[in-house]
Amino acid sequence: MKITMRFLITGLIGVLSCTLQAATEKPLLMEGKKTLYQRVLSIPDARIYPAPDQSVASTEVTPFSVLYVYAREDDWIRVGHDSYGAIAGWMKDDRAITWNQALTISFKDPQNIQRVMLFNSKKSLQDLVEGYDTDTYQRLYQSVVDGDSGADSPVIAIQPEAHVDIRENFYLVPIKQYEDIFLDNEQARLLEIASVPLEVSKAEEPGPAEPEASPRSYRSGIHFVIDSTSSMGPYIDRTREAVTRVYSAIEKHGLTNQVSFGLTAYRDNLEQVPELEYLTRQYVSLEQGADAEQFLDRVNSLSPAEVSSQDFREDAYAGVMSAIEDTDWTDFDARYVVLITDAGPRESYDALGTTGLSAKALRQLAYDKGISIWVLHLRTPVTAADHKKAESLYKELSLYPGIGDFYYGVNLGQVDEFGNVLEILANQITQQVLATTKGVPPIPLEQDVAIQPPVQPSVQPQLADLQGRVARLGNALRLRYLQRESGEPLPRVFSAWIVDRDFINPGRSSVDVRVLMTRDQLSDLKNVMQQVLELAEEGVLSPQNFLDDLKSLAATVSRDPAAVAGSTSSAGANLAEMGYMREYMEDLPYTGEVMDLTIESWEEWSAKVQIEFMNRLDSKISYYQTLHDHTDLWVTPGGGPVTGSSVFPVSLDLLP
Amino acid sequence: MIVVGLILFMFLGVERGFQVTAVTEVVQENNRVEIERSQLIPPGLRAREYIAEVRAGGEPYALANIYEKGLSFQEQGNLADAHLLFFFSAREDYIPAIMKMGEMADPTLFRAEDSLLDQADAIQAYKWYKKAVALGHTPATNGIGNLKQWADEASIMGNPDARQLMLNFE
Repeated sequence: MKITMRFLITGLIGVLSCTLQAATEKPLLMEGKKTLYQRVLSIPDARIYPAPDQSVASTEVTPFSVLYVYAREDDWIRVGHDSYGAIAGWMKDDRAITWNQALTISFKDPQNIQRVMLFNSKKSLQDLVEGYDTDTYQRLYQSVVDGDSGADSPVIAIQPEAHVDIRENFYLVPIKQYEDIFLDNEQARLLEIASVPLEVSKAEEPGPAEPEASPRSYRSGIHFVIDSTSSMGPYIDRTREAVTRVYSAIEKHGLTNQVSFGLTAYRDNLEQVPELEYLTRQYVSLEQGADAEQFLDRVNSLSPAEVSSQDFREDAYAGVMSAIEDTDWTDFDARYVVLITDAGPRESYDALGTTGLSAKALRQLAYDKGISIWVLHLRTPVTAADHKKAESLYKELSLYPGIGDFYYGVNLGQVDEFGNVLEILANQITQQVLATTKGVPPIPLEQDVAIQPPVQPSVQPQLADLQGRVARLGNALRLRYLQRESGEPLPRVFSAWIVDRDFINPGRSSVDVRVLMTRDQLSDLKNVMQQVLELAEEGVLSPQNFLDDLKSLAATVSRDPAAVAGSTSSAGANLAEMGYMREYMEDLPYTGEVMDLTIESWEEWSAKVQIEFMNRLDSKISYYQTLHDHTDLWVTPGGGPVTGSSVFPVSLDLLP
Repeated sequence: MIVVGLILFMFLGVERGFQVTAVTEVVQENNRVEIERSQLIPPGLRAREYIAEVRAGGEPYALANIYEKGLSFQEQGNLADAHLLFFFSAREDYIPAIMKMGEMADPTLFRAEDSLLDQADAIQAYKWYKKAVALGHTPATNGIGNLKQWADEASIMGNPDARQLMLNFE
C-alpha cells in the first residue's frame, strides 16, 4: 500500500457554510506582524464545533481548508474562512497545521522530467543530496515506478503521472518548512510538505464514493448519447444491434444488473428548427437499462428526425450534459458516457448552443462526477469540412487526466466499423466487471502504463490505442473500488520531504514553490509595482531624478514611513530596505530582483540593462493584472463569490 | 608632469553605440608620450540629452521629429538611442512609435539587428499593440491576432511568455 498511496491533488478549499460575524472582528496577528493574520490548514478528521466542547454536534471540514485563527483557548482554536469576521466555529488545534507562510507547491509536467519522489524523512533525502548519489536515486526511482519497492524504501509516495495544471484545477500541497541546499552545483531547496492519500480525500466527499456498510458488486454504467438528427438512422439501428449482443454476453457471464445501459438522444436548437421536436430526450435510464428487454423496448421508439437541422453542427454538449446531470450514477463504480455523432458540437461561443459550455468545462463537469466521456465520431463525407475542428473538440471533451483521450474517428462513417468498435468496447467493459467479480486483482497504478487490453487488440492502431486506454481506465476504477470495499485503513495525513529540482538534471526545477496570496494582496502588489515601473520608465529617459523620486514614493507606499526615512539615507539600500517590501512577502524563500535593486546598481547599468529590467517588471505587473481580472482562477475559502479574500497560488518566481 | 589638453576623438560605428578613441598627449620631463585609450560614449546618452533638450523646449513635443531621429539612430545601429526615442514618443501616444515598439518586441517579426533587446518579448509587444488599438489604430489588431496565433502554438511547447499571454485571450 505504501507505494500505491498517491497523494491528494484535488480541489481542497472548504465548502462549509459559515455564520457571518461582526465585520469588525479580526483574526489574531502573526507574531511581529502588523497586517498578517495567523492561518492554519485543517487536516482530515477535523471538525468544527459551535463551542469548544466535543460533546456538541459538529460538522466535518474538507481536508486542507485554509482557515484564519480568531482565538485560542486551551487546545482549541476559533477559526474563520476569511479575515473579515466570517467565523466558522471552534476546532481542536491538533486537527490543524500551522501555515502562516502560506507556501505551497505545484508540480511541473512530468512529461520530460522524472516524477517527484516523496521521502519519509529529511535525512534519507539529505543523504542522497549531499553525496549527489544519482545511482541510488535512480535505483529507488525505478523500483517505485516498477512497483517493487521494498518495505525499507525511504520513498513513501510519488508524484501522479498525470499532470494537473494548478491554474485549471486548484490543489494544495502545503509546505511546512524548507531548507536551502545545493544539489550538485545548483541552488535548491529541501521542502517538507503535507498531504493526504487520494482515497482519504475521496472518502471525505459526500455522495457515491461513500463506502457502504456491506460489500456489493462492482457495477458499470454506460450511458449512450446519440445524435438523432436525420442522418443518423443506420447508426441508431446498429447501436441497438450491438447492445443486444452485449446483453447476451452479460447474461452468459451471469452479470445481469452489473452492467447497465442508458440512452439519451439529442438534436439541436429548437428555436431555429422547431420541427426537430426536442433538444434532448432520455429514452432509457441506467436503472431501466439494467434489463435488456426494457432497454430494447424503450429504444425501439427512437427514430431519426425527419427534418434537417440548421447546419452541420449539432448541440452534442446538451446531450452529454443531460446524461451527466439527469442520470442517477450513485450505484455505479465505473461511469461512462458514450457520445455517438456525425456532427461537430456547438462550443461555448456558438450562439446556437444551449449549454454555454466549452469542451473543457463539460469534461470537468463529468470528471467531478467520476464519469469518463467517450466519443465515436462518424466522419461521414457530408461533414468532411468540419472533421478537423470537430475531432479537436471531441478529443478535448474526452480527455481523461493521466490516461488520454477516448476519441475514435470512424472513417467515412462506415456503419460496420462503427458497430464493431462499439461492441468491442462494451465487451471490454463487461470483461472488467467479470474480472472484478471473479476476484482477478487489478494491476498497481504505478505499473498500469504497461497494461494491455484484456481482449485481443485490434489490428487497427486507432482501436488498439483506445482499447489500451480503456484497459487502463478500467484498471484504475477497479483498484479504487477494491480499496474502498476492503476498508483497509489509510493514514489520514502524512508529511514527506522532496527536493525542488530534478535530481538527475538539477538545472531544471521539478516543482514551483508558490505562495497563496489573497486578491487584495495581489492588487496591492500590482499598484505598488506599477508606481515603481513608472519611476523606472522615467528613470530610463531622465536618470537624474530617479533616486529622489524613489525615496518620495517609498514614503507613500511604505507601511512604516518612519523606518523608510532612516533606511533611504544609507548608501546601498535596496528597494526592500527602502520600504517597498510588502509584509506578505517578508520571510519568503525568494530573492526578487526588484526588491534587491539598489540605486548604485541602477546607475551602473547600461540603458539596455535598465530597459530589460523594466520590461521584466512590466511583464510581472501585466501578469498580476491579468490574474487579478481572471476571476475564474480565484478560489474563495469556504465557497461563495470571489472577493478580496479569495486566494491563488502565485509562483515565487513571479514576485518582484 | 604636464598634461596637454589634446584629445582627439575618432568616431567608429559599432553595433549598439559610438566607439570613441581618446588620445591624450602627456608631456613628461620633455619626453612626449602618447597614450591611446578607448572608451564608449554610453549607449543612450545622446538620446537622453536630446530628450532633455526637447523637454526643456516644452510641450507639445515634435513627436514626428523625435521618431524620425530614432529611425536615424536605428539605421546607424545605435539601438539604445533609437529604443529610448521610440519609447519616449510611444509614451506620448505617437502611433508610429507605439507600433515600432510593438514590432521590435513581436516574436513573429523580431530581428535582432533592429532591436536593442536580445530576444523578442511577446508581453511587451502585446502591451504596445493594445495601446495602439485603444488609441483607435485598428491595424494593430493584426499584430494582436498574430501574437495570439504565436502564443497558441508556443504555449503548447511550454513557453512561459506565451502561457502568460494566453491568459489575455481566455
